[in-house]
Amino acid sequence: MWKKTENEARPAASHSPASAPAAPPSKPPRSMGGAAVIGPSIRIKGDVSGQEDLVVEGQVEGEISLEKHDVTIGPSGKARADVRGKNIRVEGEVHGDLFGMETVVLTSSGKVTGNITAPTVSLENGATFKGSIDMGAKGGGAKGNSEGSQGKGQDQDQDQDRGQQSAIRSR
Amino acid sequence: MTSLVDSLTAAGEYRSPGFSIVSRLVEARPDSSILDLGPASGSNVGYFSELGCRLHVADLYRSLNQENGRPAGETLGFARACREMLPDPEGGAFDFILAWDLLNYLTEDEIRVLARHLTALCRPGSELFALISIRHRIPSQPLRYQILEGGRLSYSEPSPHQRTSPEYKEPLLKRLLPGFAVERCFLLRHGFQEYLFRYQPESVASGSP
Repeated sequence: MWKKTENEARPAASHSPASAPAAPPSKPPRSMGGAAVIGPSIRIKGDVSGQEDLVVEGQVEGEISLEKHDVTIGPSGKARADVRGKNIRVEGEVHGDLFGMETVVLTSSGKVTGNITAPTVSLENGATFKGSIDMGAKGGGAKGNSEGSQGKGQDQDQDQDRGQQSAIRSR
Repeated sequence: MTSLVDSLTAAGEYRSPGFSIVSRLVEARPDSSILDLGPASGSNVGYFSELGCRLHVADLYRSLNQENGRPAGETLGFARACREMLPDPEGGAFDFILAWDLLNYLTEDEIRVLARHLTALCRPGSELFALISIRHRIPSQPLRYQILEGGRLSYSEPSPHQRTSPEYKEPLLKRLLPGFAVERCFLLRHGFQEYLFRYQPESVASGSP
């Protein structure tokens, strides 16, 4: 009377009382948008290198080298290390030098004590920084640098003449 | 030579004749080294970034007591702050030093201490840009300056409290900053004088003012 459907004909393994429940699939490594993450409770003393983007929410003491990938020091991240990356973003704290192949960004919560070398460097209001910033000769973020400087150099003489004409001695 | 300039157009922002000269000199020398004695500022970093300069931020403002703008530990503390916060002279000399209005918050002894450190960081011809208050009262904390386009500066007062201004005059500044000759000076209507000093070590050796 009742025609077994193909689905019913095939016993479901999950309903069989003899089989153990299937093991949950193993969780992939924790990642954030495809980047590897050093969690807030993790403390690493040594060199960190790899072939993927990295987010540091914990503490790293040593060196971080991911020249072809992005490195983010998260809000709770602390690095006592030199950091090398393609794009480096600092939302936490860094004591060390930053070497960005493309950009280095210090957000409003970022604190950096060290030197920054990158073609483009950006500081948001509120960022704390002490050290040198070297935009270098490579790109340097300059727009029409040489032409602009020559033009403005000519204006300099004219402005100085006007300044001297309007000068008032106040001794 | 002092120029009286009516350049204030808006509260917190003005056309800076002194910094206009600095910016023209910097733009003419794209490989300049800049020492900023004030706090790091995104717009200032962006400005020098476009010129390809090497910028060092010393942020001596942090050496000042947050409460009343006084260096923690008085002169001895400030000397230590200079040693710790200023770059090592072995790293090279600087073409331009931006002191903003830091000098208004230092005693005469502290300015002498700062001058000793700065001379080690200068080469003949290095320029020092400073704003000196001519008002009786100044904010308890140094103003924060941001570089805008066209030689304009914006400033913000981080503290509503006031304190007495030292009102340093040019002859005294020359004594406190040996080796630094006044190249240009501009009197501004918002209560500041902009000084452009040039480092000329031979002026110290010859004893000339």
